Amino acid sequence: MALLPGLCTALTQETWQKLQDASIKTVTDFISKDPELLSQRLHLPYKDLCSIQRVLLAEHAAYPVSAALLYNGALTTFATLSTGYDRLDDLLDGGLYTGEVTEFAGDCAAGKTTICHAASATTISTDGQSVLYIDTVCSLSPQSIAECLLKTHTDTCPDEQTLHSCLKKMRSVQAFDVWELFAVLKDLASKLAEGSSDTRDLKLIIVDSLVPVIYSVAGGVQQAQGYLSEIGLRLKQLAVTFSLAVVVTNNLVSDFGGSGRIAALGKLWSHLLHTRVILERCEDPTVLSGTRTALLVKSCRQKSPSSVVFSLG
Amino acid sequence: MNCRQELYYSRITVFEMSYGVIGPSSSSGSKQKESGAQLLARLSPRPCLTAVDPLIFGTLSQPKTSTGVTRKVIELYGSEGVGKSQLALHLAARTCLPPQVKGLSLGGLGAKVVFIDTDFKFSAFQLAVFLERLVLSAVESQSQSPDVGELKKNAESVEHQGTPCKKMKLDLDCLNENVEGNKDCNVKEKCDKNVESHQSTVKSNSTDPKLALLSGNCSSLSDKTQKEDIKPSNSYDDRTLETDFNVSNPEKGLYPQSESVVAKTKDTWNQKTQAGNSDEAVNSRVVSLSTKEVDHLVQQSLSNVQVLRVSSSQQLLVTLHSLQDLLLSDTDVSLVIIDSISAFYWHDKSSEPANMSCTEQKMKPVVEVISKLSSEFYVTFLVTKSALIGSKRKRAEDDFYQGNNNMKGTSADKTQHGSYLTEPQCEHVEFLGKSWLELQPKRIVLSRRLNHQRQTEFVASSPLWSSDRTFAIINDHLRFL
Repeated sequence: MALLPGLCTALTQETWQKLQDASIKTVTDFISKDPELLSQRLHLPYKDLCSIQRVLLAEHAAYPVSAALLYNGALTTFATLSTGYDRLDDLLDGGLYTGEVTEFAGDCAAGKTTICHAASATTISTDGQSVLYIDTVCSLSPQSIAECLLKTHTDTCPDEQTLHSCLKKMRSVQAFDVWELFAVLKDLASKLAEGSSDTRDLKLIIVDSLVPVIYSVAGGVQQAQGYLSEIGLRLKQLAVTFSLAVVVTNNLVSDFGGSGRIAALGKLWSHLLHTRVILERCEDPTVLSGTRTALLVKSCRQKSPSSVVFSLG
Repeated sequence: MNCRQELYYSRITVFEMSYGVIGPSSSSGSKQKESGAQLLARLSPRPCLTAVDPLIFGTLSQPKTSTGVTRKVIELYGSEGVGKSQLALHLAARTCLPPQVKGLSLGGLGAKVVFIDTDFKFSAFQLAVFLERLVLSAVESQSQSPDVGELKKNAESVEHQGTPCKKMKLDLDCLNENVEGNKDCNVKEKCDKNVESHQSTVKSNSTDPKLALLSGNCSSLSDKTQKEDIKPSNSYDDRTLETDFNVSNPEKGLYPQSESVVAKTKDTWNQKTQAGNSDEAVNSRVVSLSTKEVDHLVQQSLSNVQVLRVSSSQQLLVTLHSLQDLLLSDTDVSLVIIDSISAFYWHDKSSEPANMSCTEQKMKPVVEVISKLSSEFYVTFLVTKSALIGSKRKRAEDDFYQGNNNMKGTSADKTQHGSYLTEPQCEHVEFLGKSWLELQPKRIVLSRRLNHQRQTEFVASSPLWSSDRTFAIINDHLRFL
């Protein structure tokens, strides 16, 4: 946040130059200084500095909102979206919550993408809600979504046309690196803000999966963590501002001891999430092949750890 | 203060020496100007948080800084899912809840809270649920009595009044659970069983600290009954309270009453009840609240909380500076929560990869403004700090999943989460730099474990406490055990 001349009437070119010479170049530099000391040191009028400070505070500080207002606002927009699996919904206390980021982590073929597909299908088949699927691994298959849709309409078999109109509510975007993902999220935020028809009734964003995007970042762990924190922040901002549910998928990696498997992407990402579910195949040969164990590792509502066994079927 | 007074005071200009010798503003040795209105707002007593939780907010164990100014900065530290935000939210709920309604003590403070949300995780819902549970449990516990019939009636009334108004499934669920829990409580058989088991354990005089606590409860209660002065308390777990009655009433004085234990529990009792038991006389009759009144209370408490959502470290700094005006205009604000202070750590670090002292540069002005606000306005800062950097020594420990995987080889019991039963998972690692350390926050390290009943418990430990404290979240109600 650079300090620029003309920001307010008091910040003239001359004043600005004096501040620059005193190496006060950004808004934070200026804010941290005591205007009284500054006026003595730079021989600038105290009143001017105070008015600049007021303008900067008004412009850059977050605006306080009463929690009562937030609560009443949330009451009208709040929703839980079903994942398509009853037992998984129970584990998540009703399903995917709007305003929150839920992660499904698991090894390959643990059912992450299947759950994403099922959740999309149930979301678009109820109340005309729409879904944005951010695809980074080319995992989206329209056939699979259509199958899920057929399953949700058990009583009446939908004809080609209703199926088509349902699938229209789902948009998919491909993003293969961090910059494409940022571009997608930025585009989405602006479209949501202006109420574009593309994003009407949008309730669910799916990022499948975050791992290749982050692992392709050059510049080592530090850089990757920086991008990760930015992605997390933007997803949460979207989720909170527009009351959306966000689902991301993640892989498992060996932990440092080498004995177990933990979710990838590091400590920072675990803090950014609201809810984390770890999916696991059942290795018991007596149970059906589609059986999975879902383990709730982090939740801000439910008791964790807790687990359920369910069938992907 | 009325308008005229304000006008009057604002014309006075007070000169006073600034605080320390080391403080940033005093480096030039100049005198600071402030108007009388500012001075009054700055020095006027804000609601004291000690009643909310004496161990967390108490001033006795506060570290003094080199300048002798008592700063109240409390840091909650821990890895993910250990209840940092939940504890912060619970304390916010206790702070913003009114002390009493219709003579019923709610255990709140009625003060205002500023919540700086850097993680975008503040949930007004959750705060509302916490508030509602606090109110309902106050209603329940005030009508606690050994008479089972009355209790049943009370449970029914809760069910009756609670159900129709619920807007959310969440609330409904918690209510149902709560009603079920209450009914459980009321089954005489179960109580008797409990009594028996408790008697046996108390008699065996085990060294288990929990049992010691239990017998402590018993003795404090029988102590009370001797005085014939039983006060219903909202801060007590209603279930234990009831069983305690059953244990202690029929055979008074059967249990070992260690003097120190009695004294200690008396102390905690006093601390717990000082929040607002000024009208015990009114408490003797049952106060019931309609759902509308509960809703109104929740709304009223929620409007005591101001939420500021911040999305960068620069904005955090500017926002903290802007708090000065807010604190000047409102003398009821006594708690500022920052959840969390470490949110932009990696973001800032990666934006200047070549700059090794980047964290220090970002944190220093933030620390300066926190220290200024906390010492000049006597507000308390409650800051959560995520364990972003793991300790190199104990890297492998902290995941629950690992324990689960280990178990898989040996037994098919999937619900046995071995690693949780053993060690606390977190030790503190400082990563926010020198200036944050110099602020000397009162640090509370949180961790999570499974207890013997396979319930998740959170453990809070602080070097300033004589022992660790455990708390659990049962039916959306956070309770210290």
